[in-house]
Amino acid sequence: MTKTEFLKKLALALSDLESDEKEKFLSYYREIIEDRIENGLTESDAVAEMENITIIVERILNDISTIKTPKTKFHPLTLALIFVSFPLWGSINVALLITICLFLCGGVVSCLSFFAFILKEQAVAFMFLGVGLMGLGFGVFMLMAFITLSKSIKLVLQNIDHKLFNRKGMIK
Amino acid sequence: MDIQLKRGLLEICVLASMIKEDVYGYKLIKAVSAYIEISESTLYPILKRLESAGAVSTYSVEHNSRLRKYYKITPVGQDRIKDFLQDWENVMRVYKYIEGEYSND
Repeated sequence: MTKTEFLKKLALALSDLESDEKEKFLSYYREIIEDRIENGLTESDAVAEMENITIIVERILNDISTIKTPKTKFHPLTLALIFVSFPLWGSINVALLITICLFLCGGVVSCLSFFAFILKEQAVAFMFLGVGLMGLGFGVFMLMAFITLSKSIKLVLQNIDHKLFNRKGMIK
Repeated sequence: MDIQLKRGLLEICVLASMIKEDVYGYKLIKAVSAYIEISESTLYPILKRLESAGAVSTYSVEHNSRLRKYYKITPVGQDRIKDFLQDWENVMRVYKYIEGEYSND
């Protein structure tokens, strides 16, 4: 089995977990497999050395549900920087969210217009439906992109935070 | 070994493996498994528990164009090891007593 296949199976078996929780768990396994490969194992050997997915999932679901991970903590100075730069990222965020909302609302309204026109003007009604669905789709797509982007920005920030303020004890 | 006992020992072993330097998952498993049986799926909940108790903090470092998560022991974690060592001094005294009585018999 390849690494990707293993992780895919694991993700499928863990589909009940919260996505944040699941992602943390998958990256933990991804990292260990990659480290094993880096230490000289072939990909299939590295995966073969892992435990049976059923056992893993059983352990995880038993143990994880009872523990809560703390929220990421930033150094006070990083928090200050985030706060000071609020006008910049805040306005970009607001603009993006408003655009997304407009697409979603416009899409819904346009879809509803379909029903208003369907009896009188079929062609117009279907045009509204098409435009509405397109708007909705685009809105949902942008929303997903927005969420993914926020997550990666958080990760980048965590790393900057660590590099800037926790130099002591860092590993090369 | 008793499950509860093993679980407690594992937690302290995991903490001990971070004393000299911060560690990442694979390295931790290798270090600890020389002394006590441990697998990825047993380690994960332990790390999580330690993190939520504030005994361990984490950060990610880029390594070969991927991210590696490092675990770092906190003062709370250090205290846990200290407590453990103190507790086990007492346990060892009791152990010696039991052993002595048993072999004198």
